[in-house]
Formats: sequence, C-alpha cells, structure tokens
Amino acid sequence: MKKTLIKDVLRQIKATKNRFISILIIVALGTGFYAGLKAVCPDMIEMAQEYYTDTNLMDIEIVSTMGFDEDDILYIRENLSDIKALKGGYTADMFASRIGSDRDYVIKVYSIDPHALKTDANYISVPYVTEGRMIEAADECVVDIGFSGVSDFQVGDKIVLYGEDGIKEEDDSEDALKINEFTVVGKVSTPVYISHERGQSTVGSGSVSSYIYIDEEAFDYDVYTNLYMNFTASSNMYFDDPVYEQYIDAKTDELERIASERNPMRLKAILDEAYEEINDAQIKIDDGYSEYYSGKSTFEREIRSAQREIDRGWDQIEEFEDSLPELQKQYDDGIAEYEKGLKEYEDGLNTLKENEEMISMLRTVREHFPQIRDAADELTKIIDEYIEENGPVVTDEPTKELIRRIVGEINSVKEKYAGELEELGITLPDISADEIINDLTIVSGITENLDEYINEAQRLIDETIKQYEDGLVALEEGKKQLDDGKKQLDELKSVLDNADETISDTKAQLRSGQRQLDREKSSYSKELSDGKKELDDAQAELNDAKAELEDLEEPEWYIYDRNNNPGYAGYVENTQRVDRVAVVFPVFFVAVAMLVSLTTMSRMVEEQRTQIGTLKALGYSNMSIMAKYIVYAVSASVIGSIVGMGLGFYILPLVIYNAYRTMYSMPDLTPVIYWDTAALCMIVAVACTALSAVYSCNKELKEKPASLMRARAPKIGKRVFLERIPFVWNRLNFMQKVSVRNMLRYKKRIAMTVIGIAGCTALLVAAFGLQNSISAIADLQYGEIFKYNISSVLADDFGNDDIDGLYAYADSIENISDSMLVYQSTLNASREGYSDKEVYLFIPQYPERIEPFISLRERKSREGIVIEEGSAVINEKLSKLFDLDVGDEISVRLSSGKQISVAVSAITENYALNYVYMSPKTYKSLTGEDISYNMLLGNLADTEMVSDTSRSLMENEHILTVVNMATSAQGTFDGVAEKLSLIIVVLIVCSGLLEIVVLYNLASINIAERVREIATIKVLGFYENEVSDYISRENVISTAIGIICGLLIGIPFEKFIVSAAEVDAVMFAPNINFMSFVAATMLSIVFAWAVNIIMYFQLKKIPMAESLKSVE
Amino acid sequence: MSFIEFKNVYKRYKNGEVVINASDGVNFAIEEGEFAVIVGTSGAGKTTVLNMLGGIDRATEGEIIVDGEDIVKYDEKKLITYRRNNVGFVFQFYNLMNNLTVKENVELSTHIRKNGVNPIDVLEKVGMDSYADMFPSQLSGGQQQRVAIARALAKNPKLLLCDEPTGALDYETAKSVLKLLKELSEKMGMTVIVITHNLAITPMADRIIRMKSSKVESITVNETVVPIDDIEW
Repeated sequence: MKKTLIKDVLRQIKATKNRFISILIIVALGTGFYAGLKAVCPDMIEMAQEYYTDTNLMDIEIVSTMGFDEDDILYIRENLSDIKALKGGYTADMFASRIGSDRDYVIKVYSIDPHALKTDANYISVPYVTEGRMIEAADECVVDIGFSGVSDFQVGDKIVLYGEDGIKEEDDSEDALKINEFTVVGKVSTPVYISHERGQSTVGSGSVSSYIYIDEEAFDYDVYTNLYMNFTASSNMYFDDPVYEQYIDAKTDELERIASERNPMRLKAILDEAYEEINDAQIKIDDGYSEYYSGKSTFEREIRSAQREIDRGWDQIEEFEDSLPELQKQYDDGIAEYEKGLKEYEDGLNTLKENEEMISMLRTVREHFPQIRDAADELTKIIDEYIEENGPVVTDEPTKELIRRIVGEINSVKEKYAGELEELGITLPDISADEIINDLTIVSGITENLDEYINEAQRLIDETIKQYEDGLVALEEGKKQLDDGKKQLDELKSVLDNADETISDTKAQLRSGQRQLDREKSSYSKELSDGKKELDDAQAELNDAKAELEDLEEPEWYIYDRNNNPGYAGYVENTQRVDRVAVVFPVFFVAVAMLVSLTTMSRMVEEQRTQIGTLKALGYSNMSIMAKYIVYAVSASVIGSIVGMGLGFYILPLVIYNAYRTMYSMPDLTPVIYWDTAALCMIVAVACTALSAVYSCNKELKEKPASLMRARAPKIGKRVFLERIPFVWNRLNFMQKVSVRNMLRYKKRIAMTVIGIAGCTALLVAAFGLQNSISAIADLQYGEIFKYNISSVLADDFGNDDIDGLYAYADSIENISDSMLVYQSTLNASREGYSDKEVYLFIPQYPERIEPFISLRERKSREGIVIEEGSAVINEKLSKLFDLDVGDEISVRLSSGKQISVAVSAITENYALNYVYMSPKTYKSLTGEDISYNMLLGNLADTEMVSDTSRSLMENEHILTVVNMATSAQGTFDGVAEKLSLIIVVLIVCSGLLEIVVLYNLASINIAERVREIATIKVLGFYENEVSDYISRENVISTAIGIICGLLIGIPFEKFIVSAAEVDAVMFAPNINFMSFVAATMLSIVFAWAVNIIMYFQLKKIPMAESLKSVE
Repeated sequence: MSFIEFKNVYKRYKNGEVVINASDGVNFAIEEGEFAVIVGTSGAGKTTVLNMLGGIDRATEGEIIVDGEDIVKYDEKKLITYRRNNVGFVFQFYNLMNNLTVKENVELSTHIRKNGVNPIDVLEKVGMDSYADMFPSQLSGGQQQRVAIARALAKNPKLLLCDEPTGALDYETAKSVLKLLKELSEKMGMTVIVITHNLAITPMADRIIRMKSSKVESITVNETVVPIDDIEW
C-alpha cells in the first residue's frame, strides 16, 4: 500500500509537475522570506557578539578629569570584584593631515600597546587589521579603515598630528605626544566604532572624522587619560541581554562608590605634591629675586665706577687742555735756562781747560815725588851707611862728587818747578852740597824737611788736581742735568706738538667708552628687567597655581559603558527593525501560498473525482484516499520550504547585512540556520498545504460514491449583479459581458490573482520607492535644504574679535557671493524615556538671513520657518525620534557637560543627520555664554571654481579646512543606494516570482478546468488570439485591479519598510515618486504578460477533440 | 462536382512503432442541401471523418473538397477561418457555456461571424427564443441541444456537422432534435451531416454513408425519405 501510495504520488507529481512546482515555489518564497528575515536579527546579534567577544570590547570605560595614576588603578583593582582585564590608555583629540596635503581632519588618537596586543589574550578592545599590519615602532600608526570619507590616509603615507589650536607647527603636539610624525602601516577596524559615527570632539568643528592608533610610548602624558575594563562574568553574557545591562549597571554603581572613596585621596595626593612643588618653586623664585637684586646692585656699582672713570678722563683732558699755554711757557723758559746753563758749562769747561797744562804738569810733578822721596831715602840710606863707615864728614872725593851731583840734581828740579811751587806756595829749602859734605847728618834733616815739603806739595797738588777734577765733574754733572732738562723739554715739546691729536683721541676714546657703558647699561638693565619680569611672571603663575590649587576640586570620574560607543546602541535597534519587517512578508506569503495550494489541490481533487468515487465505492477509507493528496501537498511544501529556507537563511541575512554595512563597520556575517524558525516555517507550510488538501478532499469525500462517479454538476450560471444595472450592462459588448461573467464565476481565483499581483506590485512600489527615497535624500538635503556650497572650519583660537576681519577676507574673494558665521557642534540630545541621540547644535550668526544657506521649511506645506528667540527649531526626524511636537522641550548636553533645555518652536524638513537650530541670543540666554563661531558658510558665484576658492580661503589663518558640500554629500550617500540596490534586486526577483507563480498557477488551473470550453470556442472558429483573449481577459482585468490595489497598498507598505529600515541619522524622503509607481506597474505588467505568453502556447496546444469527449 | 467530396482521405496516428489508420482511404461525396447520415459502430472512423470535414483535424493524405476548395491544403489560419465561416458544429454534450445565458451562447457565434444571424431569430427558429435569458443549467437536455444547434446556425454556416447530437438525449427529445435538424435541411437548404451509431434513423436521411474499420463500407442515396415521426427505435 505504501509503495503504491508513493508510486501514485510520484506519478501524480509527474503528471502535474507545473502545479507541484507552483506550490513548491510559493512555499519556498514564503518560508524563505520569513526564515531569512527572521535570521537577520539573530545573525547580526550573533555576529556582533562574536566580534565583541573576540575583540574583548571594553565593558566599561572611565575618563577622569585628572587622569588616572597607578594608585588609582591599584585602588580599583583592590576594590572592584570580577575584573578580567583593566588597562589604562591615552586618548587625545588632535588634528591630522597627510604630509603633502592641505586637508586637516579632527581625529581621535588612541594609544595601543603593540606588545600586549600580541601577547595578552585579554587585551581590551582589540582593533583588527584590515589592510597592512599592526604598528611595531613608536613612529608608526594604524588608521581608521576609512569609513567616513577619510580615505586620505593610505598605508605608506606619512601623517602629522598636531595640537588643539589647529596650528600646524612641527613641535606643536608637544604637550600630548613625544613625536608628531607617523607612518601609516595599516588600516584597522575597531569594535569601539561599529557605525560610521565617530563621536564628538572639543576641537575643530566638533565632530571627529576619524580615529588613529599610535604606540602608547609616543604619548607624553604622566597619567592615563582613560581606563578600560572587562569583567569575567560579563564575557559570557550576550550584549543585548538585559542581564548584561544589569550587571554593568551594578558595576557602574560600584565604580561610582569607588570614585567617591578614591577621589578625595587622589586630590590630597595631588595637592601635597603640588604644594611641595610650589614651595620648591617659591624657593627658586626667591633665590632668583635675591640673585636679581644682588646682581642689580653690583651692576649699578660697576656702572657708577666706570662712569666716574670716564668723567675723570674728561676732567683730565680738559685740565690738560687748559694747561697747555702754561706748559708752552714752561717750555720756553726751560729752553732759555738750558741755553744759559749750556753757556755756563761751556765757560766753565773753557776755564778748566786753561788750567789743564798746569794740572798736567802738577801731575807730572806728583809723579816725580816718589822718585824724590826714593832718591832722598836712598840718599839718606847711603848717607847713613856712609856715616856708619866714615863718620859724618865726607872725606873721599867720589862721595863728595856724588853728593854734589845729587844735590845739583835736586836743586835743578827745584829750580825747574820753583815757579809752580811757588805759585802753589811751596818753597823748597835750599840744599847745599858742601854743607852736606861737611855734615852728612844734616842730610837727614834735609830729607826730613824734604818729606815735609813733598808731602805738603803733594797735598797741595792733590788738592789742586782734585779741585780741578771736581770742577770738571761738577761741570759734567751740570751738563748732564742740562741734557736731562733738555730731554724733558724735548718731551714737553713733543707733548705740546701732539697735544691736539691727543686731546681729540682721548675725547673720542672717552665718548666711545661712554657709549659702550651706556650700551652695557641698557642691555644689562634690560636683562635685569627681563629677569625681573620672568620672576614676576613666575611668581604670578605660582600665585595663580596656588589659587588654582585652592580652588581645585576633587577629580571626577565619568563612567561609560558600551552605550557610549558611537553606533553601539543603535545596532540592536536596527537589527530589530528587520525583525519587524520579517513579520509582514510571511503573513502575506503564507496567505498566498495557502490560496495557491488550495486552488491547486481543489482542482486536482476535482479532476480525480471519479477515481475518488471508485476508490470510495471499493471501500477505501477516507483517510487512505486523502493520503495521496496530503502526501502530494506535504511533499511540495517540504521540498519548497527546504529550498526556500536554504536560500533564505543564507541569502537574505547576507543581502540585508550588506546593506546595513553602509552604516556599520563590522566583520563578515556567517549565516546560521535557526532550527526553531525552520521548524516553525516547515510546520506552518506543511499545515497550510496539508489542510488545503484535506479541505479539498473533504468537500468531495462528503458526497456519496455514486454521485462521485457522476460528472460533477456543472457550475450553475448565475445572474451577475451588473445585469441588474442595465445602464452599465447594456453598454458592455459581448466579450466584456462574457468576461464579467467569467470573473464572477471564479471569484476565488480572481481574488487570488488580485492578491498575488497586488502583493507583487506593493513589493515593487516599496522597492522602487525605497530606492528613490534614499537616492532622493542627497538631492533634497544638499540641493534644496543645505544650499550653501562650502563650509570653512575655523581654528579654535578664532575669537569673536576677528569676525569683521574674516567677513572682510571672505568678501575679498571674488567667487564668494555670500557668507555667514555659524556655530556647529555635535552634541547629545536627550529626552526622558528615550535613548540619547546625536544632534548638531547649529547657531547661525544672523538667523533671519539663514535662507540663502539653509532652507528651513515645513515639509508638507513648504512654508518657511523662522528661528525665533528663546526657542529652537528641530528637524523632522529628531521630532519623530523623541516624539516631540511644537511647544515641547528638548534637552541638549553641551560639551562643557551643561544641560540646556529649550522649547521647540518649529519642525523643519531635513533628511540627513539631526539638527537643533537656535539663535545666538537664545544660546546666550540659556548658557550665559557668548557663542564663539567655528564655521563659515559660503555660497559661490561659480561652483566650478570651488577648489580655487577653497585654496584662497585656506590662506586665512583662521580657516583650518574647507569642505566642498557637493563632494562631501556625494561621499556620504554614494554607497547607500548602491548597496540597497541588492535588496531591491532581491525584492524584484521575489515579487516577480510571486506574481509569475500565482498567475501561472491560476491560469493553468483555469485552462485545465475550462479545457472543454476552450476546445469548443476553438471549434467555433475563434482565432488563436481570440481564444487567448477569451481566457486571459479576466486575468488582464484582475491583474489591473491587482496592480491598482498593489499601488495603493504599496504606499503604506513602503512607509512601513522605510520606518523599519531608517536609522536615527537619516530620514528617507517620505513621498514615493511617480516613477516608482510607473516602474512597479510596468514590471507587474511585464510579469503578467510573460505568464500570458506561456498561456498562449498552452492554449494553442489544447486539441479541439477535447470538445467531443464525453463529460467525465 | 459534389458540394462535399472525400477523395482517398487517410488519417494516420503514430503511436510509438504502430501506425493507426483512423481513416483508411475514405471516399464519399455529399451534395449541397442534403441531410446525410454517417453511421457505423464505435471506432469505425466516423468521428475522424467528421473532424476532418469540420476542420478540427487534418487529413494525413487525400483531398477534402468543400464547396470547390480542398481544405486539406489550408494552413492553420485558413482552416480556422473555414471553421468560423462555413461550419456549424453540434456536439453530443452540447458544450454550452454554463455561465452564459442562452442568448449569449448563441452570441459566441455571432460575435465572430460578421454575416451571422440575429441570435433571437435563430433561437426562434429552434423554438428557444423564450428561453433567451436563461442559463443552460435551467434547461433540459433537448433544450440545451436546441440552443447548441442555434449557436451553430447563428454563424450562417454552409454545413452543419452533428456528432451524435442525440447521444445524450432521451428518445422523444432525440426525435424532436432530429426533426429540427431535418427541418433546417429542408427549409433552409442547409447541408446537414449527422454522425450516429443509431442505424434506426437512417431512413430519414437523404444519403447514408456506412463506415466500418475506418473505411466507407457503402453509400446509399435514400430515394424514399421517411419522416422522423414515422421512425421508431
């Protein structure tokens, strides 16, 4: 029996394979769509979970107003339980530009520890490299994968990071970084940034355009700016599970408690250290002061003495100048005296020279004195000897002679010099030889006398000679003195002669000396005053520091969980959107599938009426008769759902995730089969088809076998309601009447056709509408609403004093036709009961003149909106996100942390991103602060020249970078439509399949059921196209009705899909454009037409002989 | 030349290796305005002959001359046009469109035939004019067959082909339908060809063609036509 059953079913399938395939496809579509869409959400959650787990996405991040020191970390470690990993890191908001490029980007710089990254399996928030490699050296960096248009940084590029003031100087990043030039070695994606949002910044335009990782060694901070932590328990929790949230909330509370304990300690430590430092500094400053004062007095003293010297010099030279006449006189006198002395000397010399002869004679005489003395002595001796021998009288002649001769000799000498001697007063006694001869003894008297005389003479001569020589010496002495005097005089002369020169030289010297002194004085005093100023500054600084310290509050910890990561919170919401869409499609598909299988099964059962009757007559149970049809239907739905879900589970999540990837930067999705969903699908599909089989069979089986054996009573013709309206009915031509009758005969089928085609058309409208909604955004947003051509980002140091100058500068650029300063900042807006949304606070300087730049208008009425004082204008999407209406209040958290609330006065049309517009006055009244503008909007006369104009603008010191709206808008929306087109292809294919299957199935059943009728009209002589018309006219009409219904259903359907697919930052254009309707209609017609062509050939094949067969 | 002539008409079907001759050299002729009856047992090849004559089926070989033209040579389109303009077909099971009224069923013919007859007039002719707005299901078998005849006549055809027109009818009704057909032939000069396995009705025909084993067994021109009312079976 079983074998027979299977054989029977297989034969049946073979005989009616088209119907079988119809059921199969429709079931495949229904289950595939449902399973696929249902899988998207868990697939994406699973993928994200895996991603977060694999990369150890931080559970909690803490930022402190004073950073974290090692003690902080230690304290947390000791007091917080369940920590799996805890790591400090640095971040800084900086500007970056590629070397060789003018463009600056505000980027968030993160530290990374490349070593720990490699070795620590628990490294928190691991970025994964998508291109190139991870950093290995301190001068390397890896950049954001380039999600938000910063494709400027490529692997191999060198980039410069610089500080918050936005001025590009080589050493500007000193405060944050040790080095500021980095080589890009790779691109990364990080679990911290899963969406295109890059968060907010305090620098530049206020929004971060990219992030970058550098080695933590490259940072120059003393303390960590951020702490990241993971917990052991949370690593096993699903991130979208409320349990996780509760767990993290508990940890946050714990951390807040820890903060309240730890922060006073930290403050104290900081104060202690600071005061110590201050004291040290005070000492240094005091030393400095005393050094200064001592230096100052030394300097002043030295200066004074130098000045005195110079003054003295002046006195001297003046004195000298004054004494010159006197000196001249002295000189003249001296010369006269000298000449006089010289004469005296020469006279003296002459006098002496006159005595020279006598003196030389005297000298000669003196020379002779010893001879005389000797002679006298000899004489005496002789005499004495003689006396001894001979007595005192000389008796012998010889001796007498001798005595005579000697005496004669003496006398002759005496005679000779008698004059001179006399002149000298010497009178030598006369010696007489005879007397001597007679008494030699007298000789001794004589000689004694002679000695006396000689001595006397000698004394006299000596004296005279001495007198002479003394005179000579005295003269020479005098001469020498004269010479000396002369020399002095000569010197004086030369002095006198050089006096003029000397005076002018000296004066010049004095003057230059004075100058030098002055110079030294001024330079020195400058140095001193500089030193003083430095000291004063230092002191003031120190005082400030002291004052600051006194005001120093406890550090504050900001504890963030993952919800603070840009895009994180929206991710789950977005996946749930798909889930919501998932419900609508299957309901629709299941309805159609049921209708298809119902009609198919009914037809099949009807066709086999006789067989069923026979079996029944033979005594088969209802169940065993039904089994064939149930097995047939079930096998179609089982195969269909396997095929459908097989494709659905794989294709849809990938296609939809791919579209979501325009907003998310995450790893590839691995589709998973969800057996519970699969089972549910299968059960529903099987139940639907089986039930329709049972239902169809039951209808027949209720009848008696006998009646079953008879031909089924043909469907009785009935009056149609239109007949009762003769006005209409009579106007219809014959074929129209026939069509009306036929349509009303097969109401069920017509209904199915209408439903199928309406569904298909609605899908197409939604698909095209969606595509158009998205592609229209760029034109609407950047063509009609944001009309300004360029926006220039201003440097942070742009003060409101420079406003006029900047306007003047902009006006001076010819191509700029209009410009306005605005303040724009990315902030978080909040409303009780809603998650925070990222918004732009936008404050134009002249709100009343905003129209040429931004069109604020009510979308439907297109009425212009004015930014009123004291209230804000918000965009439509934001009003929807927060359910805000005019008059409600919206809260915005400023970057300072301050929360401001403002009433909404109007809601403006806007498609991309969310904006809160207000006037500068409103801002001031809310915050008490003046706005400092950070952006200059500009309209161009010639948009072709935008790059020239940008360049001109960039030359201004205040302008950091110029954004060309035309290209930036393109960049934002280019990818979106492209990636969505895949979804649209899927929708078109599915809706096409749906329409074709439904139409084909119905048409083929229709033909099968009416084959006799068709054969008859063929016999009657209907041409082929007339036959085709006769049959398909109903299809055409019901297709038309279906299309109209579909277009109508399509509108809310598209709205539903849009609302489900829209993200926070974007509002799709809510109106479906006409072309979407046209395209949907055309495609629906094409599908219907395709089915009609198939039908045409089937009709052609119907043999006319069918008309002759007996009615079975 | 006769109004209708079959000359050596063959119809062969290939069923795998076996070739079946549904018509095996059929020859006969029928004159215009005749009431002809083709009789034979089931499977004798009557229907094949009728189908070929009615342009529903094509002969494999031979000539079928209708009003001087060989319809075997017609292409598909011409054959449809031939059916459309020249042939009225009456089926055993009437083949009325159940969801169309009596009048509309007739209009199916007039809709495609320019020289058609006013449906009401035709219905009057078959005695069904008072049923014009009724649906087939509200009529008896004989009435339905009258409507079917009216539908065939409405095209103003050259020949009326009837395939066992009384096969599904009871005796009296069958008689009345046959009477109607006979009348049409006599009053309108319509060439009527009736296929039947009922030999009893042959006396009312002008010409009797007997078929056996796909061949014409004999052709009898009936000189003494008996009115249907006098025939009993």
